[in-house]
Amino acid sequence: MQAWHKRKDGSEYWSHSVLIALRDDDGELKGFAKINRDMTDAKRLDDLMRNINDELENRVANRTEQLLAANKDLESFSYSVSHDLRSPLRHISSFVSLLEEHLQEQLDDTARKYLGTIAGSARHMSQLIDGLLAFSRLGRAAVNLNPVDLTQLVDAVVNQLAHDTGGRVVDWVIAPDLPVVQGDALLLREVWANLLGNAFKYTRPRERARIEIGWSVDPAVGYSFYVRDNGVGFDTKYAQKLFGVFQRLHRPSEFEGTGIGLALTRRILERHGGSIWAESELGKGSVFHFSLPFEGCNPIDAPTDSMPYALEP
Amino acid sequence: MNTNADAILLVEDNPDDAELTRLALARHGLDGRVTHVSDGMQALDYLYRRDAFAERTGGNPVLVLLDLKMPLLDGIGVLKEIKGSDALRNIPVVVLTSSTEPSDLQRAYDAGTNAYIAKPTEFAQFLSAMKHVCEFWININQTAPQSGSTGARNTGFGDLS
Repeated sequence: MQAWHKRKDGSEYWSHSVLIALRDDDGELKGFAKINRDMTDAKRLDDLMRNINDELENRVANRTEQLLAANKDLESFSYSVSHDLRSPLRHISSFVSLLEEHLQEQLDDTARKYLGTIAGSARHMSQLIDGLLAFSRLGRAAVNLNPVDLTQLVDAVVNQLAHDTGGRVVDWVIAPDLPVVQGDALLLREVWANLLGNAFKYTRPRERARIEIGWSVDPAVGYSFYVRDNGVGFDTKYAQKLFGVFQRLHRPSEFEGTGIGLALTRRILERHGGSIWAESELGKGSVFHFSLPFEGCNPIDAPTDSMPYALEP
Repeated sequence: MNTNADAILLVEDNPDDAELTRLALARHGLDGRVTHVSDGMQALDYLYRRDAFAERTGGNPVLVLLDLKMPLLDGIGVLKEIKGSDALRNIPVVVLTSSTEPSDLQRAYDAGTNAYIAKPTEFAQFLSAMKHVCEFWININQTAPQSGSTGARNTGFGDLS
């Protein structure tokens, strides 16, 4: 029996009591003995634990709700970007070309240049929006894990890049035995296309570019890969900034690009349970490393298709 | 015989988009064939000859160009209505939208659209996408049977984008 009891001085205590029947040798009931134990401290501790647990559970439930709401907001946002931002942009772009057509000979060089700038900016913004959409879509898409032969995949990506070198000399040094990993082939192709594409792009000023691909096994993290180039490099203190959306370390006039590639790459690798990091020295070249777990786990797998339908009025 | 058997119904709430689509169709020789309505309800009124279109003569349009995001009734709603109706089901529908979302593409095909065009940002590219629509229009007007209220029987119309 457990209950609150009152002491003689009026204070309360939590008691565990045991009631024992007292019998004589013949088994005749003679009376009862009762032992009370003061368990107040244990009870207080127990209650406290229970309260903390309840509160934690409430807090987790609230946070989860908030996160789900935030996630939904994000999805609505990307949906709006797709629908609502692309429209006016298309109007700007289209009516500028119609205007150019309409005025034709009446346009002087300055006017033509201004129209060209408007059209170019609209085109650039359209690329940024497409990049943003690709990035947000990736957060929602399912990752389909299958064995992926990286020797073949890297070969295909390199061939595509090497196909159009524009007269450049590029030495590709590829480890001959790249492993078969667990991953989403389409997404991993995107990773390699971005990293090798960057290496190709940022070695452009070199008379002879060298791009090296290798790997190792680290029992703690899984496979570890690297792409090393002798390109223009960057200051290592910006190494983390590189992987943010629309973060660029070069002017568009130096190297083209929207700044979405490495953000996408990081997101793909994280969705595979891996990670990416980089080191570099300005003017000497860069090394990009990334890891993939052996099993290709999905620690943050998102729902496959959760596009909100609610935006239509 | 229908007086406007070769009409194209353009369902588009944004006047700028409507103008661009009309211009693109005109470039490919389909000027004057387009009837424009500004939302999904008007589209159904037109198709079912209700309200403002109660006095409409002629048969079904041979092609519906359908925006997705519209007030009152959206494109998917119109699409479901068309593809669920015995009288309208055979009208080819081309969804013409800004959206590049795979889920929109999926919803549109699930609802029975015959084609889906995600409108490109640049007018030149939009023109070339609309060229396919016009070739299709020419195609159905050459091969369509002369009898019946519906001009088109062509259902093998793939993705134009």
